[in-house]
Amino acid sequence: MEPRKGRAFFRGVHVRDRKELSKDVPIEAFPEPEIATISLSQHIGRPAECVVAPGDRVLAGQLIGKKSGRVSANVFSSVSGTVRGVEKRRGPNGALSDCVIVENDGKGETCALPAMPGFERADIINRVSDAGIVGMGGAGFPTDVKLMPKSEVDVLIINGAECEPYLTCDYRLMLEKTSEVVEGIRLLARAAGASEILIGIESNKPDCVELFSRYDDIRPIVLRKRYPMGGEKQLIYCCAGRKVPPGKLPSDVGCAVQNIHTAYATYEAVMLGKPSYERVMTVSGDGALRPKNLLAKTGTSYSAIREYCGAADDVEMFVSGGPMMGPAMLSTDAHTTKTSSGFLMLKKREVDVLSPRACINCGACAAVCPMRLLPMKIDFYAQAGDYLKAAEIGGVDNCISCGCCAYVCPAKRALIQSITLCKQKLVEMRRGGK
Amino acid sequence: MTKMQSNRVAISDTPHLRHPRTVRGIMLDVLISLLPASIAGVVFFGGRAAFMLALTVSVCFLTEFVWLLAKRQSPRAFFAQFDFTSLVTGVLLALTMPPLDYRYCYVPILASVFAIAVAKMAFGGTGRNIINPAIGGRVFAFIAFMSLMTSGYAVPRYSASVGSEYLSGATPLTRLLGDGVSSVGLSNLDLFLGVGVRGCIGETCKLALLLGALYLIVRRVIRPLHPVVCVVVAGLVGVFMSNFDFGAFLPSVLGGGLILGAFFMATDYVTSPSVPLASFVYFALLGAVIALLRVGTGIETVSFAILLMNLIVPLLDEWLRPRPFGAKPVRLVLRDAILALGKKPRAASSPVPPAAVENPTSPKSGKIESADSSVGLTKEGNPADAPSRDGESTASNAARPSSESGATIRSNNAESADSSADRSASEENVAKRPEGARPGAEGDVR
Repeated sequence: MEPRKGRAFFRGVHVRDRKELSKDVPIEAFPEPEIATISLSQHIGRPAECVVAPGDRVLAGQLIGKKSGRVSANVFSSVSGTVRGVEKRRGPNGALSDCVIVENDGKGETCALPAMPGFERADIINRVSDAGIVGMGGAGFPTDVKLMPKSEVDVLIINGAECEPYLTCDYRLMLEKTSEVVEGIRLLARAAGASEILIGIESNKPDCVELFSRYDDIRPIVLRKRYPMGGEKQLIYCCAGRKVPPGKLPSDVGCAVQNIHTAYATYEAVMLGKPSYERVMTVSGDGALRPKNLLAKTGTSYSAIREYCGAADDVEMFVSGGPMMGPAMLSTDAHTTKTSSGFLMLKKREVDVLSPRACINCGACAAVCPMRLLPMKIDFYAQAGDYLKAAEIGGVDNCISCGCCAYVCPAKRALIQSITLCKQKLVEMRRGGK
Repeated sequence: MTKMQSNRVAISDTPHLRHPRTVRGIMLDVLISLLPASIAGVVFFGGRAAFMLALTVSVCFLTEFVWLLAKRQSPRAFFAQFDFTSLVTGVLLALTMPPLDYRYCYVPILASVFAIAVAKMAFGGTGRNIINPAIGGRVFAFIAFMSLMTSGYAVPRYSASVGSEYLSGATPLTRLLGDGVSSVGLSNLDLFLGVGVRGCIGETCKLALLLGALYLIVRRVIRPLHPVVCVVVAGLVGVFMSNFDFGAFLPSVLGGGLILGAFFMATDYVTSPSVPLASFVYFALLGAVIALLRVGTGIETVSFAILLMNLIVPLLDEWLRPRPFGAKPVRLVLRDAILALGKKPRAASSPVPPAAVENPTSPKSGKIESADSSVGLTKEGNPADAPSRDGESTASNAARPSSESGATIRSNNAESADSSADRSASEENVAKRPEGARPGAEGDVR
C-alpha cells in the first residue's frame, strides 16, 4: 500500500545514529561456536526448566529447556553435540543464570518441529509458543502471551523504526528477507486477529519503505527520525494515532506491536519448523575494525565475535544491545541470547564517562521526556529515599527507561539509575503492602 | 554514573551516549553573554564600573573557594568541580549595582560575600539555592546601604546630547513612576542605547543586553518566549496602571532593570521552574509583579519581584506539572467537570451521580486528583477515562481467542490465579518498555 506519513511526537531526542557503519554490510553467518553456553533465562518471566542431562546428545533445534509457567519460553540447543552440564554463568547484562553447556561435535545435525496441523489462529499461537519465540527487539517478552490479549485487537503494528543508534539488524532483515518478513507479519496478524497491518519505519530507511509499499495488505508508515520512536506507546501514537493511557496495555486501544525480527522468527517457526535459536545481531561502533551484521547462534561467546570482527586496542566500553538502553558489559566473557540485537565496541570519543554533578534544575530532562514525566523530581526524591513522592510528583510508574533524560542532562546525572532504583523499591513496597 | 576501571573497560549506566552539553559549558555561555553588557557598563561609567566588576567576581570566587576549603574539600577537587557559577553570580551582582565611588568598595564586597555564603552555599551550593544568589546579594546591599544604593547613580559619560537638568536626580524610571511619561526626558532610543541614562552598571544599555540574550537564545541556553512574555506583561501592566497611556509602554520596558532581570536573572535555571507550563506562568506573573510593585512603591523593584517569585517556584512546579503521555488531557478533565456541574441540579433529588464524584469540580483539584490516578496509586474508576474502544470489547476473558476460535490453546500450566497475576504484572512491565530497544540494568533476566 501507499506509504503514509506518521504523526510526530514532540519530545524525545535526536541522536546521531551512526548506522552508516554497518548499514551496507550484508548479513553473514557466524561460524558455529565450539561450545555453546545457552541460558535458560533468555526472556522475561520464569526460567525454562532443563530437560537434558549431562552426557546427552542433542541436535541443533532440540528442546533443552521447557517453559515453566505462563510467562516463560522454550529454549533450544543451537548446535549439535553433547551436553556438558548446567552451570551458572553471567549473561551480557551481568546477571547470573543457569546455562546449558553444549559441546559442538561439528556435525551440524538439526531437527525441526513437527508439521503444522493447520494454519488457524490457535495453531500459529501454539507454534509460536512451542518455538520459544520472544520479543526480539530486546524486551524478551514471550510472544505467545502477547498474541492473546484480554481485549480485541484490530491493528497490528510492526516495529521497523529501529530507533536505537548503531543497530542495523532489523534494517538488513527487512532488506534481505523481505518476503519472509512479510509472510511472518501476516502470520502474526492472523494470530493477533488484526485486520489492519501497519509497519512503522523511520525516514532514514527509505529503501525499506519502498520495499514494503509493494504489498497490498501492509501499509508502511514513514516516521520522523527521533529517539525513542520505537517505544511501544510512541509507535502506536505515531502509526495509528491512538494514545495508550497510563497503566494500560496496547491491546486496550486495539493495537498489538511486534518487532521485525519476531516476525521473521515466526515465519521460520511456522513455515520451516525451525525454533528460535539464532538471530541477526549488529556488531558495530568505532572500536569494531570490521562492523558486521552477523547471523549468530544463541550461546555464542562475545569474545569469539570480538575476535571475528576485530576490536581496536583502545575500546573504552562494550555494550550489549543499543547504546541508549543496552547494558555495558563487564567483560566480553558472556554469551548471546535470543534478545542480543547488538554488540557495540565504543571508543572514548563516543562514550565519555563524566562524573555526575549537582542538578541545576534546567528542565532539559522534562523537556525531552517522551512520557512527559519529571525525571529531575524522580531523581531528587529517589536520592532522598521518598519513593512514593517520586511516583506521585515524577510519575516514575510511567517511565519507559528510554534514557532521553540522561542523554540530555548537562549535569550528567545517573537519572536512569535513580529511576530503576525507584521502580524496584516501589515494587517491593507495594508487594509488601498487600 | 560510576566509572570503574577493570581490565580498562568502562562501565556506565545507560544511556552510554551523552549530549556534549555540560553545566560548565552552559555557565561559560552565560558569562560570554554578559560580556556586551559589562563592556557597555565600563564604557558608560568608566573605571568605577570595571573596578566593581573585578571586585564582585573575585570576592564571589574567593568566598566559594574558602567555603569549600572550610568544608575540607581539596583545592584540586575544587578546581575539578569548578563550574563558573560563582563567576556568573559575581558579574550579575556588579551589573545590578550602581557604579559606586571607590571609597564605598565595602558595599560590593559585603554583597558578594552575602550572595555566595548565605544565598548559595548555606543552602547546599550549586543547584540547591532557593533564591538567585546575585539577587540575594543585591537585595541585601539595597536594604543595608539604602541611601548609597538609591542615590549612588553616577552621571554616565557620553551624555552631551541630553540637557543638563536630566543629569542630576533620579533615574528615568523613577521619574516615569513619579511624574508620568512626559517627565522621563529621554527619547526611547536614548533609553535603548543607554546614552545619558543613569542606572545600575549593566542595566542601562539595552542593546548590549539584547545582544547577549540573542547569544543565549542561539546557543539554546534560554528560550526566547519566556523573558519576552515577562517583558510584554510588565509593559502592558505599566500601560494599564498609567490609565491606558500606551506612550508609557516603551519607557517602562526600557527603563530600569527589566530587560536585565527578565533575560539574565529570572532565567537562572536553579531558581526558575523546570516544568514547561510552570515556566510560562512564572514569567507572566513575574512581569505583572514587577509592574505592580513599581507603581506601588515608586522605586525599581525587579530584584524584589524576582526574589518573591523565586520563593513560589517549587509550588508552581508541583501544581503545573505535566500529565503523563496518554493521560486524559486537561481540557477533557475541565469539560467533564463542567458537564458534571451542569448535571448536578437535575440530579439534586437523587443521590450524587457517580460522574460528579469521579469528576472533580474545580480545575485545580481535578488536576491533582487525576495526576494521582495516572501514576497508578489509585485506580481510575471513571468510565470516561477509558478509551472509547473499551466499550466495544468487554475486556473480559470472553474476548480470549481460546473461546472465540474453535480450536483450543494448550497451556503448560493450569491457569491458576497466581500465573495470571504473574502474567499481567509482566505484561505491564513490557508495556512500559520500548520494543525496539534493549532494556537497561533492570534485571530482566531473573
